[in-house]
Amino acid sequence: MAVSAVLLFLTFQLGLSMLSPQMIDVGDQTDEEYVRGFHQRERNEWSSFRWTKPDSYVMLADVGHIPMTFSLAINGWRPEDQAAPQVVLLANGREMANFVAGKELRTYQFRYIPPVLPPSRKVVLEIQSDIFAPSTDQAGRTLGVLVDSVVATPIAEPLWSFYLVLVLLLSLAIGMGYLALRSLGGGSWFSFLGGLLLLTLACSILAICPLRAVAFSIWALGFCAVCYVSGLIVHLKGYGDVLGRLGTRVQTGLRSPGGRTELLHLIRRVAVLVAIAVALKVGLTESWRYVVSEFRFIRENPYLTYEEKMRSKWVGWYDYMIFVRDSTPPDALIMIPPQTLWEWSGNGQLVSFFLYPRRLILENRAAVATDETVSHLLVAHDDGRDWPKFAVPAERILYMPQRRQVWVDDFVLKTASGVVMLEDFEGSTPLAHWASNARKVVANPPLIVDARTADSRSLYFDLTYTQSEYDYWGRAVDIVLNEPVSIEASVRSNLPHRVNLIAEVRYPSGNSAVFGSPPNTESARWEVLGIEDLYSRARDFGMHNGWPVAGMKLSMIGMNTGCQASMPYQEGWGVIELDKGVQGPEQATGWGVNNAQRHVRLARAHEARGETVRAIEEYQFALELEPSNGWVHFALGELYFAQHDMVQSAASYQRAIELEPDIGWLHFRLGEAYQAGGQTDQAVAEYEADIEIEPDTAWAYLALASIYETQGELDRAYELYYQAGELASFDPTADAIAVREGIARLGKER
Amino acid sequence: MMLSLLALLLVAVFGFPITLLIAPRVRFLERLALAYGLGWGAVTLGMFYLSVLGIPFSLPNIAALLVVVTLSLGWLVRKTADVSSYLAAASAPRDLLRRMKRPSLPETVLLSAIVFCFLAALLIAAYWPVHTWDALAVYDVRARMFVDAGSIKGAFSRSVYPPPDLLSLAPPLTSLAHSWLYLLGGEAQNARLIYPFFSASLIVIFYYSLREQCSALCSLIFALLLVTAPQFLYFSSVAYTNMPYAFYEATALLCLYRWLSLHKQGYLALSALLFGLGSWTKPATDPYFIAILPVLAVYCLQKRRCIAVAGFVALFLTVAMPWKLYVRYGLSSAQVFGSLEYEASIAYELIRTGLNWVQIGKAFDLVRLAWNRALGLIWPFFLGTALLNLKNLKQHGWLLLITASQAAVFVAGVCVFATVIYPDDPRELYAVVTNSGTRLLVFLVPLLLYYAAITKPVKDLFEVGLSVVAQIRLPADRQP
Repeated sequence: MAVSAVLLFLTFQLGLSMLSPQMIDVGDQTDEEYVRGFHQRERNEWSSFRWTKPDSYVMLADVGHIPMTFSLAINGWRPEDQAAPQVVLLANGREMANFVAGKELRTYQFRYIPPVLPPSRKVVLEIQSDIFAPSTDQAGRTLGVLVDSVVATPIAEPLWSFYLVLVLLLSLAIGMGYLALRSLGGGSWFSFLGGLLLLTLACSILAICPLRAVAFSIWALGFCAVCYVSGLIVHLKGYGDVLGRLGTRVQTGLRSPGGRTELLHLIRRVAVLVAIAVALKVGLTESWRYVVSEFRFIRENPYLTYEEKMRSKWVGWYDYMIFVRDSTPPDALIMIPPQTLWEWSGNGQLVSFFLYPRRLILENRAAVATDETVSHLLVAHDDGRDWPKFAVPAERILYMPQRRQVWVDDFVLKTASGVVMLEDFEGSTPLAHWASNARKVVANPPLIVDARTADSRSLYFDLTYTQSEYDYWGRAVDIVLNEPVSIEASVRSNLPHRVNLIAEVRYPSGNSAVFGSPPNTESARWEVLGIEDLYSRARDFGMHNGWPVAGMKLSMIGMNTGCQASMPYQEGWGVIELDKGVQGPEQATGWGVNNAQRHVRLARAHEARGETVRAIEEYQFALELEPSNGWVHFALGELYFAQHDMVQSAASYQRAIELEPDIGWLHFRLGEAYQAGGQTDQAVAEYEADIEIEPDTAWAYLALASIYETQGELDRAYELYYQAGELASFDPTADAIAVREGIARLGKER
Repeated sequence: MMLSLLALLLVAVFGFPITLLIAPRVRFLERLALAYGLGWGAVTLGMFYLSVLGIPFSLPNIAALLVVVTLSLGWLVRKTADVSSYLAAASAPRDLLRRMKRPSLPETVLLSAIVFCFLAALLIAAYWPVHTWDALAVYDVRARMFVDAGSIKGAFSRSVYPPPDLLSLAPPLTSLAHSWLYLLGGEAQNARLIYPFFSASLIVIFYYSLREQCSALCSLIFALLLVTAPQFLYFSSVAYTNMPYAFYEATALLCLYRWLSLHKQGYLALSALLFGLGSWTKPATDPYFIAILPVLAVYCLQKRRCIAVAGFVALFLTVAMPWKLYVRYGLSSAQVFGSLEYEASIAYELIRTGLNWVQIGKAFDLVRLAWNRALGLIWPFFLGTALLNLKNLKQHGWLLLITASQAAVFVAGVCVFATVIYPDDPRELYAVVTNSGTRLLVFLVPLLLYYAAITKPVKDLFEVGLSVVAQIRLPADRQP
């Protein structure tokens, strides 16, 4: 007993030190086996995760007996006006921790010491927390906390109390085996050998697979007890005699000359039998797990359609591909991003499957304008990386259905003679639907007084768009424009760059123009938008067009909920139908009012036909109507760049950056303009700014590396090439080739 | 579903005369299993040749070709093979039922477990459509292109991106197999149903190969070990090439061993055909075939059967080469991956750069990783039995040589990847070895288990230690 106890204790120490941590990447494709009761997988720029529901738990099989440290990466994000959530963790029903989760992603560690009895095979880690209903959530979910990963690390240091109880139990099992054999008629030597054999077996199994061996040993204990009790009850004396005789024969055999060989053969057979049993057991367990996990899904969802099954496997990606397929003709030639960074959207073969018979072409910026056969571009958003990264002459931009929720408050018109508030909504329609080119679904009455907010006088819009450039909601006014006028409103939306204020001005000649404010820049935050000095803008625009400006009137004020970012790759999945300039731009717009979007469309049409000078003119017109549109400045910068006018190009990019400071790509393009103009130091600064904003895109690293290489700073250049390579992987694109060549070249030189 | 099953049945029907012609003395179930694999070879090769000849592979065209081929083979069987064996094979199902003895309790349990696993894989395959990444991106998309264009060249030439070079990278067996299903029953058919039957065929052939040397209990236990080997069940139910490839390669190697060691008639030709179809299924498999050649060279020298071995190589090339030639000359593809030139250039590069021990050390770490993932406990089990069998090493020397040659190719392959192809990109290297490398090892599982089962210690266990267990039966009145 004493020897077995010591050996067992040592074996446990050895076994635990051999165990490796188990990591569950919550939100990864492989997490289904472990998580229950969570919301669907989600991804952001950095990782994948899931939000908890009130009854979410993580389940780890076959480790219930092992003392472990759990590390949970949890984010208890809440809106500013709400307190951080209280989280309670329970392991197999016992409270393990009770804490307040921070509003950012943090790792929390807890020790789990399993109870010796009753033994449990699995650990069910229950996560309970306060819940909240985010106003920006399109599905109206209630969320607990965000879980990014769960790591279970076995505790390797001695846990005396835990081991001692278990060791004593197992020693007791061996002792009982000895006693059972004795009582069944085995000799003392035979019973002793039997006990030792059991000990060896237990030790060897423990060494191979300690987790299961613990369970096995406890079962063995139960089994011995059952056998012993059964033996006594049923009086299987005959078997006792047989075993006794076998024991005597073993003793006799050991003394005979051939006996040892016979024993060796016996041991060999037993070893093979044990090996087969272990291999079968492990194989059956793994196969069973696979079958059970599949069967569970099938049982719960027996009648899913093909679409539903594909959606369950490909989540949002399937809907995206189906959307693109339904939005493009079968003979379309669609340009896709390089696979270097857009692993999914850039995988031509994969995309081919979903979009067949539509044909694909890999990114080729020149072909967008010059190749008549290219008809569409994907709008990709893989892992938060947007594509395309260049100006595109778009005929139509179709987004996957986007639910836009917009709240409006404190809508005011300021004139020299006073302030007019538009907040007296009782009994009248404050903003009537005026004009639209939107393709949209109106889920709720589009304009209601929102009762959900503290300020019940806010206007609330709830619309789902698939395509739009404008969707004006206006209120008719009749104000002569002969003095400075400005319009202001507080706006909140679930999506950035989608809402702006508008004002229509009618000229005495019968022409009209629509002036806009910059769009909202953030999601789920109140922002004050405004059209400043409308009088000067309207006067300048009218004079520019040769219209009489005396007597012009402000005829409509309101807002545009269908605003679309001019650079279509921002914040969304979709497809762009390219404008090849086949139709005349006048017919293509079909819109008689001079608004900024119309001029942007005209500019794109000219751009598509290679009429750069006219395109620049139209962009400049657009800027007169909407001087704060950063993307129009960017498009202008692109055209100046194409004309090798680096001074103008850099100026336009700079203005775009002032208006859209958080877009890394703008810095990159400004850096390229500086570099092409020979201003290397400024270029370096802009590339570094790009890296700071978007640290996981390879272009800026590559451009910086090339500058440093030219300047002879080879170590720095090599490091940057290497970093670019880490991001780009090896893909047959120009960037990846440049990276590989750079590494090879500098590797040799260094 | 029924149309899919009909399509699979037709495939087995097409393969049946080929088995009669090549291997006349085979048990019925084993013949059926072989017919399934060879049938897919016949159907897909038929479609391929139609495409080469410029005849669109519509359903009537393929059916006409296959009926002509099947009838011709039937006529050949009547002329050349022993007709009595044909008749015996034809009446085999009835005969099988008549001769089937009452299985013992352990045999019933084991058989039930194997059948359960097969049915589980079948159900999973029937429920889910083709959805895994490579299955869609590499194989199924080509199938839909083939059906639409009516020919391989037509399908590839229509694509701008991915270019034909990329589309023709993987051999076309599984894509053409999917096409066959879609042609027969429309694109709503579930092509995943093809794969569980490949695994069932492999199990049947494995069992009967083993049954020649072991007891029924031992064969069943090892068949169950094979079914529950890592990823076997998964690959049985997904539309990857891994299971068909494992079927062709493992069956080819078992057939080769049965010819080398047991001198079974027709098995050399069968092995060559199956090797060829393995190369027709998955890219970069040629080195595994080349590794067999030294083993056969030794056999040639010992037994003076050079003509048979030359015929073996010729038959392999007849099946394996047309696709490579078609890609090179028919599609004018620039892709060279998997070609002999490519492999030779890699070998040259390896010799030129010399042995880089640091990289080779890393490579062995990766080998261990892939080994563990693909083989699990099968590998230590094989090693253990091989060690216990050291005294009788010569008894199954050919099998050991074959196994060693295949394992050596894998190890060498990883070394090449680590030292020549991806020396500076550990992430890509890791991905290639752990994914593609692991899948390439699946065919080795049946071989390792087969060797373990026929070693003396295992035989001893079943003949002496467990002989009593094999006879445990339920009383007749409690039989189900």
